[in-house]
Amino acid sequence: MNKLISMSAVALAAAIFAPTAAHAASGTIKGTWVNYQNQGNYCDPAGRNCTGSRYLKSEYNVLHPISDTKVYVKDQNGAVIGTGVTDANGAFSIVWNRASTPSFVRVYWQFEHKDDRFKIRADGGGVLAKWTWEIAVTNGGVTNVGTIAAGNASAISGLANIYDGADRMWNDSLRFSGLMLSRFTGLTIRAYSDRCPTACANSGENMIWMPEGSQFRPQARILHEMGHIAAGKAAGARMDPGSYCYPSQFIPGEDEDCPNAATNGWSMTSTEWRGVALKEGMATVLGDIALYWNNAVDPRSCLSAGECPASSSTESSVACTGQVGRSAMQMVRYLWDHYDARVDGNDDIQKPYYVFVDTLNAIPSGTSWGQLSSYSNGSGGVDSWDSFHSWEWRNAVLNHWSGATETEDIYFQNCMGVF
Amino acid sequence: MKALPILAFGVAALFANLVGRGNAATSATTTIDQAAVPTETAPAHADDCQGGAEERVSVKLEPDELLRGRAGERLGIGVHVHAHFEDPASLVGAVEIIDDRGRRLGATQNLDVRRVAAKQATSYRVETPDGLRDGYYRVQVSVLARAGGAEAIEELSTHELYFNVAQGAITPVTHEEWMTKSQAGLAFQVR
Repeated sequence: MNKLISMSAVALAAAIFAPTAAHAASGTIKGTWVNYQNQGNYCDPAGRNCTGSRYLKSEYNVLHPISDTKVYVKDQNGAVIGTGVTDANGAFSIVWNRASTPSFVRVYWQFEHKDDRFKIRADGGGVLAKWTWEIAVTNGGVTNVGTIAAGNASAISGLANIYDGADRMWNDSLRFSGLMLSRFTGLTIRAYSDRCPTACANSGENMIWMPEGSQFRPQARILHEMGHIAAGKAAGARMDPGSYCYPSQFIPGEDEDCPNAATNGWSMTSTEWRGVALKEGMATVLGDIALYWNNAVDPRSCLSAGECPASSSTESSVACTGQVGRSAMQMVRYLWDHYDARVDGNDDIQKPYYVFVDTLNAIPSGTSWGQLSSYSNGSGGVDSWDSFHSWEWRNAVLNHWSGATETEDIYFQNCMGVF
Repeated sequence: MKALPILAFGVAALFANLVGRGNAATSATTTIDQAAVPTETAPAHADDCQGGAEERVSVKLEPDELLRGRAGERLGIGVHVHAHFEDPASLVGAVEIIDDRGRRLGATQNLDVRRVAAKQATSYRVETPDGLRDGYYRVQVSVLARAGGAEAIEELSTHELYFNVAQGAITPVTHEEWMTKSQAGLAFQVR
């Protein structure tokens, strides 16, 4: 009888513990992911007042933490046996579980934000990764792999630099908006893509395409394109007819059908339809905020893998000549004056960052003046190629933002021209 | 020598539509430029933005021929630089051949210092060395352009082109192949 009881107890114990046999081995992997920072658009105190700058020259060409990102532990067969995230310092600690102790593991970084705000993928959608050497582990052991560099001075990782730009955009800009906390999620960034020669974004598809050559120019590329995504998610509808062909630049016989042509390019100083200037200026400013606090003395915005030149200052006074209210740079300066805390002229407004996306979200739908699709005639055509333009924006801020914020002074101060 | 299909690598900002026209109106008026407003149909393209801001200097790396050397093939690459400044620009640049573990092969080659007229293009030609061991490599080209006088405008850009060597034969590859089939994804241990 005792023997039977004893045997039953053994059988019971075996039954109870059988499920845990699938995780018979486990351990912990610790380490820190870093990357060699090589993005331009830093501020160099040696030749410039960097008060209020969030990205200094001292952070350039040095190893920099890869923060707030997913990390995977995979066994010798490539199976995931543990997952975790890095902290603000790039550090991680992950428990792995497996039926038996693996002969070795590797730690993988797949360019994914820890909260799925964004991820980087190949042009065709495939997963891209950085991975470690073979790491020996023991059952019950804690293995510290030390510091893992995704790139170094001789093998700079373009993908890791794009990731860092995207993380700055989220961490230093977008997350300060409740609306973006709610809506900005699941973005896919297709890297080294052939789709757009200068990078492009589509908030409906929730996707950005970044060409080769864009990886070290954050302001005009990853920050700007994420600004488009943010604006698109806030507004919820297209706000301009999409023409980058402004008639004063149209050359019959050389250019495509204008203004229907969507393929002409733009620059910060080119003459555009006013709605295009607003759209590109808005995306730029949303990105600029990731690099400058509102007390920045010398904020700049440019397309460069180096430091932005003085001519790209967004605080400079503007001579009201030439294209009035039609350049992205004028719009950037007008919008920056909504946000900045430095008083130059009549710009003592100092609105919080989220004034931009919250105002976009508050603009009513419809095709009338001041409404989201005011460019449209309501039946598929265009009756105002300039809309949604800067004066409509001024009214939107006045009407929909608490406190009835008036931006008329900065509107004229930055040469927005007419109503 | 055999011809290579032209592969679209690099930042190939196409400025054909802009060549020959100014980027900024020069009118001194302070009233808005009231262009004729045609009532036509909006273009039906889906992107939120037509594209990012155009570069003031566009650089395109284009593999154009394979050359037979004594120790294997060499890849001839055209480096096409188009300066879109309103003023003449000075160009300097460097070319490096780097393997998938970040090792430089040979000395850095300097591109000739050149001065180009406003909105003009120039081309360089570089070749990879022959005798490369089997594996994956990249050509990295950095170009610094400077235009203007006292308030000079500079633009720095870096571009890459990837290729594989197998038994002396060279094949250009995509960035995705570079990342998934070479050792470029293998991280570095910081000691």
